Amino acid sequence: MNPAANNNAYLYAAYVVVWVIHCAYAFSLMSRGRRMKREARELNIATNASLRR
Amino acid sequence: MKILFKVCVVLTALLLGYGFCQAMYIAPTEATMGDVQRIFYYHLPSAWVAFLLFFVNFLASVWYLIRRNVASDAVALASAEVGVSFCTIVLITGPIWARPIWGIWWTWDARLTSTLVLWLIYVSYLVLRHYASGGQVPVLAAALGVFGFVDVPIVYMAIRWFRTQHPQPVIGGGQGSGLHPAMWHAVLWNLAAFAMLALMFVWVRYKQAIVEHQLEDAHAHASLYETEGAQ
Repeated sequence: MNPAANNNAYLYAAYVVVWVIHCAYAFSLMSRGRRMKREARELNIATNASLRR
Repeated sequence: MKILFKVCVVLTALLLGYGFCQAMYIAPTEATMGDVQRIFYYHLPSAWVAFLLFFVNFLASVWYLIRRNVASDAVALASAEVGVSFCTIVLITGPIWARPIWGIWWTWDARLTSTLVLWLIYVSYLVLRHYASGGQVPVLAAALGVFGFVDVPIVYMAIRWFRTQHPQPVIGGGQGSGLHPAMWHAVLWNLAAFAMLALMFVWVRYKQAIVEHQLEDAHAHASLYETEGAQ
């Protein structure tokens, strides 16, 4: 196998890793945001119910 | 604010795309290493952005210890979290680049070891923030952020102070150091792109940290109402 072509596999692997990490972090931020929205909505309902009592 | 955020997202995407083109197609191929050297255009900017974020964490931690305000604590948390993600990239792309060039994935030289220690310090910062409970957690985390930052100049200077397997610096590395101007373009475009991406991540995480704080307060109030209601 051509050594240069073999080395290119390392280059592509590094770039893929970078994008996977960035995408995974962006996804974790989005899912945390959704969870917090849901929690805020539930808490608001719970607080309002407590206040009505 | 939402429009500004969307504009920044588009700008970041454009910068990342252009940075990618610069790194993969426009920058010249390095004579001895070949195309695998293009890892450098993601490796170096990621390291600089991580250092910058740890510096922001340091400033925010100092400010929190002085003023004890929620905003500086949120900035510290956001910058540490995003900094760890960029430092992780440095620690993964480095060995991937080292393997075909040095013939080894890792060596315990001063630069690599101090970078690993830096990553461990900020991971422990995040573990502390995530798993510890009580009012003193932000204070402990701020103290860790202040003292943990001491490792950043050590990482930066390691290749100047010690003989290392890691290459000598491209800035201020003495005679024979430096980069081809076209290579600099690729470095700077990717630095701008990654700095912008980091800013977006910190922005979102900062807002989430503020909301988390408000939710904790709301939880406390809700449980207080529950207790009062039961009595």
